[in-house]
Amino acid sequence: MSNTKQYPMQFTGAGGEYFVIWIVNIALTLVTLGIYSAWAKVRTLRWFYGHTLLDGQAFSYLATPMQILKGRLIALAGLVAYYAASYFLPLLAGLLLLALFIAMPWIVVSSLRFHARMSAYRGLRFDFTGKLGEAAIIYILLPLLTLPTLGLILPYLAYRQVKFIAGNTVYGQTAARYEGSLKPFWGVYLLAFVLMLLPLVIIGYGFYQIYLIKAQGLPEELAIAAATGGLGIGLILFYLLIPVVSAMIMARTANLFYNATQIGPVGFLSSQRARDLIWIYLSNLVLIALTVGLFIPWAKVRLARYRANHLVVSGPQDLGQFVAGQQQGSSATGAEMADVFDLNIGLT
Amino acid sequence: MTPFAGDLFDGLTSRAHPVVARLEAGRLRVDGEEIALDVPLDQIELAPPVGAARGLIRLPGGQELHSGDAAALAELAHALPGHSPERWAYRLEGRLLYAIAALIVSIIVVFAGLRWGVPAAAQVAAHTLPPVLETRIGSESLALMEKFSLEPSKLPAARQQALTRQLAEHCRRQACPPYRLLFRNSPMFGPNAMALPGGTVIVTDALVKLSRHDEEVLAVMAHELGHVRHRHSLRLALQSIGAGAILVAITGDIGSITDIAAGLPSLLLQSGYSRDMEREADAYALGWLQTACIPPSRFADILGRLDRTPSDTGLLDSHPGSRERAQPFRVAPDC
Repeated sequence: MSNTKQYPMQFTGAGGEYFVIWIVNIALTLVTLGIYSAWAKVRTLRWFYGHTLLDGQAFSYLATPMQILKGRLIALAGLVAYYAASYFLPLLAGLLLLALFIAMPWIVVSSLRFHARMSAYRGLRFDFTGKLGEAAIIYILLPLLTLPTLGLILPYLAYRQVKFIAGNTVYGQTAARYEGSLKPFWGVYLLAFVLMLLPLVIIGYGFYQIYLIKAQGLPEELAIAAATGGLGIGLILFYLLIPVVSAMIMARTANLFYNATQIGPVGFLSSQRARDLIWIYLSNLVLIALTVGLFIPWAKVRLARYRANHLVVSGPQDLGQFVAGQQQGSSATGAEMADVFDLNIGLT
Repeated sequence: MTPFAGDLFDGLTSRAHPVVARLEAGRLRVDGEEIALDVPLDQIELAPPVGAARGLIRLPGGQELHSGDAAALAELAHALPGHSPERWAYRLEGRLLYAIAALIVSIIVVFAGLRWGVPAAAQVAAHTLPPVLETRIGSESLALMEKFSLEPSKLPAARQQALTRQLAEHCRRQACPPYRLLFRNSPMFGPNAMALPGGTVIVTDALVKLSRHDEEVLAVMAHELGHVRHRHSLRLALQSIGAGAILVAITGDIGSITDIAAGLPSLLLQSGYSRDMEREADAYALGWLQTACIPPSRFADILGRLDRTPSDTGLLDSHPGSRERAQPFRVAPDC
């Protein structure tokens, strides 16, 4: 193994530095009625990429604000059309929603492709080669099966998404391979299921108490107290568990994503832990609320630093041997549509 | 300019070539092992620097120069032609005080725009939109309400006809906007009345039952006619679209957690809009009642009773304090 070397990912940005950038972004976005948001997005991403170092070299974000602005305006026009239609012609709004649903695979693929092509490391761009057909299966067909299969499709869906995104990534000319299996995804979702079962059990226990009280002919008030007690505790627990479970899923999915991905001679070692992520999310949420949002820049930096600190790249002694692929242009329309319509495509 | 260190990438492979670059007589010189570039400034492209993040300089032929020397990059950006708006941003980011001042000024500008700009634009739009469209929106929303919150009226037909006739008679004697009066039962709205786009005025059974005199119902109808006259429902719809579009554009970048917080001011502004509209409709009702020779205190009477009736939603409650609203109707002289 003397030929491989471990390269820890580093994040060198400080919260205070980002705070000023963030506040100026908001200010200029406000006075320009949102037009500056394209510049703001590019500046933010350039800052985050430019502070993410691997082997002493930073990542670069290459999109220009004009590309983002164009995509954003097209997407916004669609959104305004939808809102206007839902006020004036609900039927047309329904059709627009259907069109958006049908366009999903295209939006997903072009969003992932734009994001990849605008990301570079050591002067070489990334690319994404996922096909529309596969995207249609993963982002339309499988999600539709969630209800009929009572959620049993979820592990498989997550596995296919990870495989789709990781396996179709290309760095320069080198295509990534995803060699993970479905089994560990079952582990993640079974744990999530068991955790979410807890509040249901408590609610069920409340109902069992009612049954007992009624069977013994005790007063009605006791039954009501038992029911509200069980329901209340169960519901509170349910809402508390949602962020915990989603942080758990996120941490484990990130690990499954990186640890089974191989780009040529380069592999990854991701060691995110659910409890760390839960702590970061919850404490960020509390601090953001306490500071009326002013903590947001530090919250984002904390998360970026945690992610970087828990990712190690193992590769050859020299990372300078990758070769460039063909350069292709890309439009930001799909990516911005995904943003504007709040579609959740990425993994993190 | 002092020389700065960086890494040169040729864009063909991922190999880094350590170099030293300097600005010299309008040209960028890049020197390293087996590398000696001399590029005129108009052939290089610099991504405007952001904070202390690594910067990227594009050279001809797909070559890239990366450097972490923020000061040198800023100096280079200054020497380059071009007027990217990011230059402004970079200057503002230079001092925390500038940044915060910029934020405060822009918040004031946007709030003023949302509070006064959007309603003004909506008013202009409401009066330029074809009436056909307005009628259509009205019938769509009526259909929706009939599905979810309105039932056929249980008032005796004679009572409905009597009230309809009284209003029609008054509207023969003085100018009223075109309207259509409907009686509906609604457990959800309680005692209430509302004006839909296109001139449909709905009065609930509970309101009629709450009244102690027909003139009280007429006074409420006059208030709703005020809403119709000023096209308030259409303006509200347009305003929420306008404010929504602006807020989406602005908050798109701030982050999803803050969306809730960003939505809050828009809600407050909404209630501000409708408060202005209530005042406008009240003013119309007062004039209408005086012309119709109905004592304006009738409106104050039923308003006072509505205030004591529990009902959460609707157009009549949750508006400027009803005591404050009733005041002009109490002091106004009868005809």
